Amino acid sequence: MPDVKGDFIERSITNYENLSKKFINTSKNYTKQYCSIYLIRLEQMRNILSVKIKEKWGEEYPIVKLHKISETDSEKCIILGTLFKEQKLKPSIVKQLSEANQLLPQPVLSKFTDESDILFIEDELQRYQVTGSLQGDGLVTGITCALLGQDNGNGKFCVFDYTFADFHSQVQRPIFQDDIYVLLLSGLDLVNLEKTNILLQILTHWLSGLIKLDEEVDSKQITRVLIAGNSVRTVPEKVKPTISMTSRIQESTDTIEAVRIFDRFLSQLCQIIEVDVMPGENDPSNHILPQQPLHYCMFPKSSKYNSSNQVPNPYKCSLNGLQILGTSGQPIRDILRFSEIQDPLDALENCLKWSHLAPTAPDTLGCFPFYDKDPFILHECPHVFFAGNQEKFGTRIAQGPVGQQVRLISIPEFGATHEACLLNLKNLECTSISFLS
Amino acid sequence: MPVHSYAPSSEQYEGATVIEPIRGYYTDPIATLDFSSLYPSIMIAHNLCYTTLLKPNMQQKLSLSDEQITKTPANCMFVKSSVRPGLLPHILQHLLSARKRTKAQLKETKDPVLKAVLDGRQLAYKISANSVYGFTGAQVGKLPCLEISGSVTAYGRSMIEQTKQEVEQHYCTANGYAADAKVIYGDTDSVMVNFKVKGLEKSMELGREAAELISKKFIKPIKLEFEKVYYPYLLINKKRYAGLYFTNTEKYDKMDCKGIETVRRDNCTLVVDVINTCLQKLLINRDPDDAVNYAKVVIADLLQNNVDISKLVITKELTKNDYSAKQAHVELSKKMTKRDPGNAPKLGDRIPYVIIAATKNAKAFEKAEDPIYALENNIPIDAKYYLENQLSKPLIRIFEPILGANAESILLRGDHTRTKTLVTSKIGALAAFTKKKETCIGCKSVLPNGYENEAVCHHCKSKEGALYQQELGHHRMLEDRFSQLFTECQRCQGSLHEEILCTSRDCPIFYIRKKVQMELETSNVKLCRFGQPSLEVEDELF
Repeated sequence: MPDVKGDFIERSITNYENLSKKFINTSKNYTKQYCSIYLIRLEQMRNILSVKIKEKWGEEYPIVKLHKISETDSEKCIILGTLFKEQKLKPSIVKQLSEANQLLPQPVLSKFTDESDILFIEDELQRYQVTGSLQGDGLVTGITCALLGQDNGNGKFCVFDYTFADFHSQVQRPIFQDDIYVLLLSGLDLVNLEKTNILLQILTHWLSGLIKLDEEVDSKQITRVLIAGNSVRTVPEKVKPTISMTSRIQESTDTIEAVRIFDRFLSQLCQIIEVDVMPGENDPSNHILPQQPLHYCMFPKSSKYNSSNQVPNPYKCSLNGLQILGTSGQPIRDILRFSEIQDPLDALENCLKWSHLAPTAPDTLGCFPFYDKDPFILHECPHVFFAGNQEKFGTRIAQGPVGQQVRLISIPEFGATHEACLLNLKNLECTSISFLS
Repeated sequence: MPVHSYAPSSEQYEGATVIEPIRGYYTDPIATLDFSSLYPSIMIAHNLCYTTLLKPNMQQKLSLSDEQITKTPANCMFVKSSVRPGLLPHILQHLLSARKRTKAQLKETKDPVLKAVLDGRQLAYKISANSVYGFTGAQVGKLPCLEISGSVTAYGRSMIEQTKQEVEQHYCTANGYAADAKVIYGDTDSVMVNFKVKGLEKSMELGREAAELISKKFIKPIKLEFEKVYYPYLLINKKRYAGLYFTNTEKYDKMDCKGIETVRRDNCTLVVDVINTCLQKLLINRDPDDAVNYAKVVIADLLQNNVDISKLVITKELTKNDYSAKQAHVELSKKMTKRDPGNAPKLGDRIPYVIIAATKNAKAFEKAEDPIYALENNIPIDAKYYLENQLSKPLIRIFEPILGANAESILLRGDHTRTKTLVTSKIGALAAFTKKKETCIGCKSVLPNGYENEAVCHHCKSKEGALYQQELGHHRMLEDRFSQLFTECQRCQGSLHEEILCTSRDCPIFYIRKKVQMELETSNVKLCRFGQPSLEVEDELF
């Protein structure tokens, strides 16, 4: 069928570039501690923030280190540091240990905020409690910021004004002649295949052009599929408590079978389209961020195809120069849990403001103990910024201070909502598409 | 006041009685009947006092009739209160009524501070009342009077026996009850009755009834009270039992354990934890199979070197350096001094140690090692020692009533004890000469020459993905632990930007922090044998 062949050629039009090198972790040094990542974060952010400070407050106030506050002559001063939120509901392994001997189940919380939460700011040597105009509700641990204010005594710092690193500059958005789409998916939850088997078939057939859905979009215009995590399962496996924290637990056969199904599904998909596969929280990759690409030995069928593209989480790529950045959702979920922010899109926008992909790592979100870099600091403003495995579909444009426009997308879990997102690269419009007929 | 010369006499009197326990795991509710303030009550009821004691022949001398005196089961004689009320009963009555008042007050107060004060006060009254009996029996004390103490205990013994008989006689099928009640255990001032009824309510009702019925048979103020029901109840031995303590029918008050947990510091915490969890599973969840399985898992974990070293640490105080007999912790302190004189333990320090696997005939005191040193150098733990000398006895004790005489063989020699991890030490005489060969991660066969860098042998190649997932699963869990543990320490020290330097060995996560780091390194090396999952490698495939 010649026309089908023609469509296929049309699809590969975009020029793909994987920009995720900094998320590939080659060093595996676990002897380091987490202080290094905070130190390097503070150092790198200090450069970004000092520009902001000059823009916002001029050179009127001195920038001082926390331990020098009491020695400054001027009443007001500017301090730079990392925020830390003390939260009594924060899960603690010591508490878990002491509760492990009690069989009564502890209440499972989905939100860890409480009225008693206290916000601190700290730099290399000191920690101050933050009072005044900076409210902790919408903030989380790990954000670097600059505060203008004065020492109140008793280790408290009263804030009059504050600034975050804010949006970075954005490379110019490339111009597309035609409507070209990227299909975004997450949370396939293949351990529960019976619910979605048919839908995945429909998806494959639709992408191959065999069937049409009631959509304006013709599937030949779709250039790429991005699977943003939790393809194998969306909920972690229940494990029996063991006496020791390091006992080996057998991987369930369900998971192993689901990976096999995933390989088969991918190999079908890869015959017709380029696929980027990001690992998610419950996928067989490492568990702490950055998650490394899924290993090819688990995908004997699909890894033979060039079009199968196993990528890390977080993931950044460019299509004809249009930059797409995102995660499988863990950092966003963590921000929602530890702050009063409700909407994942707000959390995404805040990440851009804070100039950090995953501020709560390593405090409440597992993260590799980097010591020479913090790969999650944003140095560029992407055009598309997404988070996978969210409860429902959501999207909007975030406006930066100097005209940056970022398409924010919260990708729903396919297993629960049977929805995917279609992103138009030409006008950055994003719609959800349901496979539930 | 008579002055007593402290001649410790060899005279002994018989103490309280213990009804021989009928050991077992009872899934029926067991009602407990208590004599409240037994000894003081006896002294009041029978007017036992120094001032009422009649020496032999005194009866004739004072020409008292038989009705005016009490002959105790210990063959002593006391005059009745109608002749002369005793001093001790008078004091005791005061103490008991004061206690009663305080208890009534305690019920009404809401203020937690006042509550604590009142609770302390009523306890003080109780102890004061009980000590009255105590000093009459203390032969090196100021006021011993064995006639009194001997009589008190003799009364107590006979009352327990009597109670047992009354209960078993009254509550039987002959009297129209559903089943024959059985007294399964009794100690000093309480009897445990199995009415053999189902349901807490019924058992409580019978308990209350029985207490009232039997109280009538004794002289006031002796009173048998129904206090609680144990349901279920695990009776291990004399003075060793555990049960779920009910005073109402809805919810248990607590798990009551007597004489089981060895909270002694020369036991490792593993023992306490395991026994606790097993008892909880037995009593709260009522799932003996689960408890047995749990114990097996722990034993398997122990043999596979999976138990956190912090749970195996035993501590002993270093009191002097030259014991005549060699002791583990003393030898260890000498060893540690040799390694690092600056950090040597001082007299009075508590020395933590673990028992390590050593050569076959090594003496126990040679096997103690500093936990950190053992961890850093991968020195294997002597699982057998912990199993045999620490875990087995308490475990068998609690499982014997359930599993019977087979307990030992089921727990200690079952299938779960077949897999053992052999840790190769980084130090030691032979370690220098050994050469490590890579084995297949799947079937553990030695990989042939030229294939050393592969993860699996060609037989296991088809299962490579699944094997990788197994290893990965373990790695993921370790990673999780790593991040949880280190952030916990950061929060504890109150700083994100400073390194964790804490060396508190009493912290429950101190050792595991180190262990997780080391295990991560190992598991990472293992994962790397499957090849890097990075982009470059994948590209090379094509």
